[in-house]
This record gives sequence, C-alpha cells and structure tokens, in this order.
Amino acid sequence: MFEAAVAMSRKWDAGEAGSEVGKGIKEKLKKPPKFVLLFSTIHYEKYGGFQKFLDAVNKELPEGTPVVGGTVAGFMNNYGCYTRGASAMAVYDDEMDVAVSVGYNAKRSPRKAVDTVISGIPNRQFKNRLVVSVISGGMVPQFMGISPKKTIQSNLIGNLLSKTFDLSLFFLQKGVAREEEILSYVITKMPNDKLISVSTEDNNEMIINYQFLSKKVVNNAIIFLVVDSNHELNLRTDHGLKPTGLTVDVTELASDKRWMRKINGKPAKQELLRLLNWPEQYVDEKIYTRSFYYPFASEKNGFLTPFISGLIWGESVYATYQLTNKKLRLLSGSGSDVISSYSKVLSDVKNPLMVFAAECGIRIGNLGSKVYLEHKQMKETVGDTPFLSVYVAGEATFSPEFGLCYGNHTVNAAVLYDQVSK
Amino acid sequence: MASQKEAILAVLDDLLREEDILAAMVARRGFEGYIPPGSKFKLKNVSVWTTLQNTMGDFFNIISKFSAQGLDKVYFELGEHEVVFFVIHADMALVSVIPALANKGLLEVEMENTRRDIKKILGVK
Repeated sequence: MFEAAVAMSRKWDAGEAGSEVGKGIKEKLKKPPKFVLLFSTIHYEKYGGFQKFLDAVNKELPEGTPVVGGTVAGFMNNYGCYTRGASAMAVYDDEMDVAVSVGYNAKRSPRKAVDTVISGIPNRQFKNRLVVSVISGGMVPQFMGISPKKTIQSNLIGNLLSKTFDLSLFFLQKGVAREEEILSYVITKMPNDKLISVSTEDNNEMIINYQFLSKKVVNNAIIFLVVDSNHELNLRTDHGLKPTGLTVDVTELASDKRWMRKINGKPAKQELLRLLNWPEQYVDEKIYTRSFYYPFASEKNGFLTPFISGLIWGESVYATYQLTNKKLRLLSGSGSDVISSYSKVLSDVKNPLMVFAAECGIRIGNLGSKVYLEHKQMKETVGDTPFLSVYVAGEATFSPEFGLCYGNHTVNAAVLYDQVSK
Repeated sequence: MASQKEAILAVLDDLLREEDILAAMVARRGFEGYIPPGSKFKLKNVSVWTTLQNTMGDFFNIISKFSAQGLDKVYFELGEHEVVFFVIHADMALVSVIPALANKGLLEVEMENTRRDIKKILGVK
C-alpha cells in the first residue's frame, strides 16, 4: 500500500510551525512515514530558529523517521503558493527502502563530500531508485567579513576581488554551490539511478541557507535521501528559454572556469552590454534579476544549460556554473515562456501517485503572484494527488534516459507512478 | 465566531508581520476601509499614507473604469516607497506600501494570499 501526504504551516513561530507540520503528517498518513521531505522559508531563523522548528516536527514523528530538506525561497503544494511558512511531503509504502547519507564541506571539497555521501548508501533492494539530493546553495562571498555587492564598477577593485574569490569559497565556504561539479561526479558513481537535486537558499538574497537532516540542522552539506521501490519513476527538466541567435566565444576565462574576463576578444562586461544592447546603468544590484531573462547557455548532449551573469565585478562577468564549453549562446525568455516550460514538464504526467518538483527561486521572484498560474496547471494535471514544489537556488535531474540536466531558471519534476516494474 | 471585520483585520495583521510590508489596509469605495491600528505600521513617512487615504476615492474612479477590462493590480512608485493595489472587486482593494527596492516578487505571493483570504471571508469569487 502506498500513501503520500502533504502538510504545511503558516505559523510565524518556529516551534508552532514545526508542530503543525508534524501533526499534519500524523493526521494524514495512516502508517508511519518511510520518509519526510521538509522545507521551510528562511523566516524561522528570526522566529525561534531552525533547531526549534526541526525539534517540533520530529516530536510528532516516530523515532528514527528520515527527515530531509532545508530552506527555500518559497513552495507550492496542493493548498497554494507561499513565500512564508513550511511544508512537508511524507510517504509510506509497504515495499520501499529508504536511506539517508550526508557529506560535509561541499563547497570546499565537493568530490570528498560526494565520496562520503556515496559510501553511506546501501545496495539497491528494489527495481528503481530515486535519489533526492539536497545541496547547500550558493552564498554571496565574503572578504574579511564583508559581503561585496553583486556589481562593482571599479575595474581595479572588481578584478582584484574576483581573483581572490576562491579564498572565500575555500576558507569560509561562501560562494557558488558547485552543483555542476558535485552532480557530474555523482552520476559517474551511480549511472543507473535517477536523481532530483535541490539547493537550499534564503529569500533569493543568497546570504545564508540551512539543511535539515533528521534531527539536525546543518550547513554546507550534501544530503541524499535514497528511496528504493518498484514504482515507475519519471524525471523531467525544462526552462522554456529560447536561443536569441547570438553566440559568443569566451576568449579569456579565469582558472576557476567561472570568471569570464573576455568575450569575443573584448572585455566581458562591455561586450555583454553591447550584445544585449543594454546601457551601462543596467549594471546594478538588480543584475541577477535582469540577466535572468537573458542568460548565457552552453550546450551539452542536446540540452541548453542556462546560467546567468550572477556578478559583474569590474570588467569580469561571473558564470554561476563552470564553463566546460567556451562557445556560448545567449537565450531569452519571458514570463509566458516560464509558464509554458511548466506545462511542458507536466505534459506527460498522468495519474501519478505523487509529484515532487524543484524550480529556480528566481522564477517565483519574477512571477510574483502569477505563480498561481503554475499552481493552476499542476492542479489541473494531478488533481488531488499530493504534490510539493520548492523554489530553490539550484535544481537538476539525472536519469539514464536524459542524462544530467541542470541550470539556472529550470523547472524539474520527479513523478512517481503506481505501475510496478516487472 | 469572529466578525467579518475582525477576520479581515487578522489577515492584515498577518501580512503586516512581513518585514517589507510597511502599511496595509483594505480600502472600500464610499465606506470606511478595514484599517489596522497605526502601531502595526512600519511606515515612517506618514504623509504617504495620509495622502493615500485622502485620495482613495479618486483611485476607485480609475479602478472601476478599468474593472471590466480585468484590472487586477495597480502599482505606483513614490520615491522610496511603492504603493500596491490588489483589486478585490471594483469597489474594494487591498492596499499595501512597500519599499521601492523590496523583494517584490516574493512579497507579491503573500499579498496574493492575503487577497485570496479576504475574498474567502467576504464570499467574493
């Protein structure tokens, strides 16, 4: 017998919210959950703290229940769309094995963290395996306790700071989340499994994020929830962006493979502005949001991986993912493209048992109240089937069929079906 | 059972706990709106709020004219502040004041939830 339930709380106090979520799970599931996916907005940091929140959730659950999740910019479930509160998806199945594994210092030593995670995973007992990966998301880097702005006009300061970027990542673990490095390595270790990944964040400010590991609140970790069952499992990723026809050559790339110094043989910032026909005034603290609709993309296995210009320091432009391909395209998209990518991901979903989805946090930031259009599509597709979609700072899927799909701006769904594989 | 007014004020109270909701009310054309106590507001520039209240009738003239075209929201910037109208129906709107540089998309989701809650209380579809 399979059961899934979605619980949530809109309470402000961390303890009250945790308790309400835990009680909600208890009320809705007839059996003790095999696992709980738990996500909350960053608010509880100021309203009692996440340990209090997690303690309250766990108090309502049977001892030893695997609870995995973390902080997100928002979430959507059967009840609505929210940028404040907490929500959980709990699952029980007669024939299901669940394991949880963790590796720390993901930003400093991603491969080591992956090795630790993988070493904690038991052999698969059922036909299919779904890995829900929760990675600590990117954080604005710090230098001597100061977080610089997303844009620095001075060439001298900008270029100098960009050259010391890796120090912040190594010593303070503040900087990019390195998901592309983590997940590319993960899939070499488990090429026959299916995976959906989310990176935790705050309210799109990228200052702090937390991860939930059963009773513990952790940071800078990679957590795997490994779910083995005989259920059919489909994973989909899309972003809805379209090529503009503009292609660029990255002609000078820093050793971290992220700082683009020169594009088309010209200083990266000036060339980017020229290509997009943007005035210099656009290089301000809203660059993250602006570049969202005009991201770069690199092509791999037929999938265009979009990434945005997260930082512009001096003449250097920062790619949120390592560049493995120096030939890039410029994409563009609109709000309606965002919505249509959602329907594309849901297009072949029919009578699922549950849906867990992950979307780029900037999508909800840009859609605002129009995010309810996504909610309408999901409700029309799955009806009352339990679903939970989280808005995060990095999201991806992997399946042997479609390979690894990640990028900024994406929507990803893991759909579980009743059909038992023979 | 809480009265309609109490229920709406409770919903507004919840919205006002959001850091960047500096002031909020449900304005009604030709009637006194549902206005939380000033102590709940974080808006320091009171003149913005006073002017807004005094000119509300003019706003509803516009809102009602565009109502048939499906007017849903109205935004306008006042220096460091932004005033946001979420239309409930032709004669009623949720009005919030937020910082001009607020994380608007995320806030909008919660303003939408507030509007939905108010509609539910009022039995408006």
